Amino acid sequence: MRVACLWFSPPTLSDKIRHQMAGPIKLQSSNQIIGKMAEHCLRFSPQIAVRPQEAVFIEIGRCQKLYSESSFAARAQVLLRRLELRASLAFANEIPEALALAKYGAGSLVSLPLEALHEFADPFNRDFVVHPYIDKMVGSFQDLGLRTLKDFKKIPAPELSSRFGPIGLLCYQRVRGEMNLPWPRWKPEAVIREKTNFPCFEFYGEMEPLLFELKKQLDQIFQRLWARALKLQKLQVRIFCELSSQNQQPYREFIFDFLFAQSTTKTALLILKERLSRHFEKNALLTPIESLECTVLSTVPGDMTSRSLLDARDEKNEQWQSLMAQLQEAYGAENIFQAQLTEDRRPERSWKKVSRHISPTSLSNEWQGRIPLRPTHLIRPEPVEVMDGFLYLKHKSYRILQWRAANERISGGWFETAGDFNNSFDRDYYQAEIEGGVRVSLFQIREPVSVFENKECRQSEEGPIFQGAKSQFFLHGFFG
Amino acid sequence: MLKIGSRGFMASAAVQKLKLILQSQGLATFDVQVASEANLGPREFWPAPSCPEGVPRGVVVELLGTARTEWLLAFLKQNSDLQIFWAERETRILPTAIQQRGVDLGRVSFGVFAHDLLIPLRKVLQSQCFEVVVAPNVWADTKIFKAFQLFAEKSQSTLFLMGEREACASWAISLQIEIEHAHAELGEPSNPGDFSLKVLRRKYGALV
Repeated sequence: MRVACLWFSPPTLSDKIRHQMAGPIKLQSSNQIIGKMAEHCLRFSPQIAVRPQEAVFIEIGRCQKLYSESSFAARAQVLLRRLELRASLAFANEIPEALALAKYGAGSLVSLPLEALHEFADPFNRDFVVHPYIDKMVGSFQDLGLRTLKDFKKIPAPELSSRFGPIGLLCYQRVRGEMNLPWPRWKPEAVIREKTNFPCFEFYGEMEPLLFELKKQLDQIFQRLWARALKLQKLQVRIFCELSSQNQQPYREFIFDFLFAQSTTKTALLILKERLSRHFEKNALLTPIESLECTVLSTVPGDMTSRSLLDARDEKNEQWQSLMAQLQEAYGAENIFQAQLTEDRRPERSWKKVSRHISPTSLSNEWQGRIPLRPTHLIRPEPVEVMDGFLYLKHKSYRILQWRAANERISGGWFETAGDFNNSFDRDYYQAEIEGGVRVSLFQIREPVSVFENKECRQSEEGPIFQGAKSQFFLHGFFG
Repeated sequence: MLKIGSRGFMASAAVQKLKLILQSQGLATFDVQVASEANLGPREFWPAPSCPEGVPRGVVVELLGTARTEWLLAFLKQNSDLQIFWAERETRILPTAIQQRGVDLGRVSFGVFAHDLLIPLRKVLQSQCFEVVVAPNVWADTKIFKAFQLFAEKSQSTLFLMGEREACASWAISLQIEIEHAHAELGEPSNPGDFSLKVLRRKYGALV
């Protein structure tokens, strides 16, 4: 086993003042800081333990093929800098040793002072009874002229047990590395939430400062998610405003259910910006913002494998997802889509909108050969009249240059409720080329013919010739 | 008269510089071999049906005529690795027809923008996700076409504007083609040779 220990010294008064002067205050206790750091360290190893308010232990012995101790130290430094934290780092074979080395900044076990026995006896700071005994024991050793653990290790074990009881023996065994310490289980917070308060930094919902703060929070959220191998699917953003007679709402809430799970701040922030800017255009904030809170509502498993440097497909796919999500946010999900074919023979229902195209199945290939060529553009069926080689549309006439007899007859849908058109699912389709070279697709509704009616229709090369009555045609689309 | 490139491609900026140098040296007539052999024409051309010169990448193209969509679909079928964004004012294009003409619908993303086409098109072009962007030509201002030209050039995407009636007079459009059906029978799939093309304007290609 190999343990890395990050020791966070308690903040000094000057640190606190500097932090307060910096601007918005993140109300975080030492425990929150330790918890956050431990969460970020999940990227290094799944086996993590914490000493409340003071230290994080990471088991790195089984990850030595992934990184060395020096590269771990470099990564930890980057992480600490990003989180604006300071900590000392030490490596050892056991938790108490790593803790003592990190706390006292010593290079080796033998140079540690006798006070380090506190860390050896109770590395997780849970046993408050043991510390007075250790203080007493350390005082006795110092009276005898012992100063370091090197001197302590030379004391015979039977003497320790007879004079200092089981606590002395426990310290002795742990200093000599003869006792394995079980790792207490540490679980990250169930809900990922970031909150920033603005006690003195007032703004009324201008987008830029708000986005600036949101970016900071999203950075934190995505790092925490990345450490857990997750992607963000649903996010709640709450903007808390000062209450006044004008503003009765304590906060404004925005729920972002992303089209594609997000893994980077850049893309998520663009989507947030779209929604917020639209919202503030219509509903300006009347009172200053007090705090900003982002909460992760749902996540999906993320891909934690390293990206290929030579293959840009993943990157391009992410760009595409980001663009589609932005456009959907701005223009509505019903207006940004991909298309997928259906089994319906009606041209207007022969496809459906999907968020993401699924590869065509064998069904569509089979279907493709059986359906006549559809027009490239479809319009809402427009009633037209076809008479004597002319097509009449909206009081204008067009000479029919070429006419193709009914090449498709579709009917059915009797079980469906009335849709856009009555009897619309009982059609004969024709194609025609009218003057100007425009090729159009028309359908004729077949009405039930009474035996008393004499409605005859025969085809000719110039087009259908109707005798006795006009036939009901609809223009449904055009080619090209 | 100066001719650049054995295949008739227009000179790029680098070739233009070379041209000026040659002109200043009085060697303007020798640059044909220089441009073609040095392969200085950086603009990529995609093969297109009934258009031996091809369609340049990273430009604005206006398509006119009664067979423009059919021709475009034949072009997209021919270039089967291109990603396409199809923008419209209202949903008119029939995806079933696109699939029937041999274009995989997985490559096509659709956008319906009833009011403003400019901003979404700018976003789409700037995203560099699509090699081909199709949109109706609803503008007349040259500034807009110039902006599109710059975006298209930067993203190396070709913007196909579907003109309705007359060819747009803006100089920022690099290629204008009027396409009609040649002799295809009604209801028959169009073949590459079934189009009658009339090039109204062409930059980055043979001089017309």
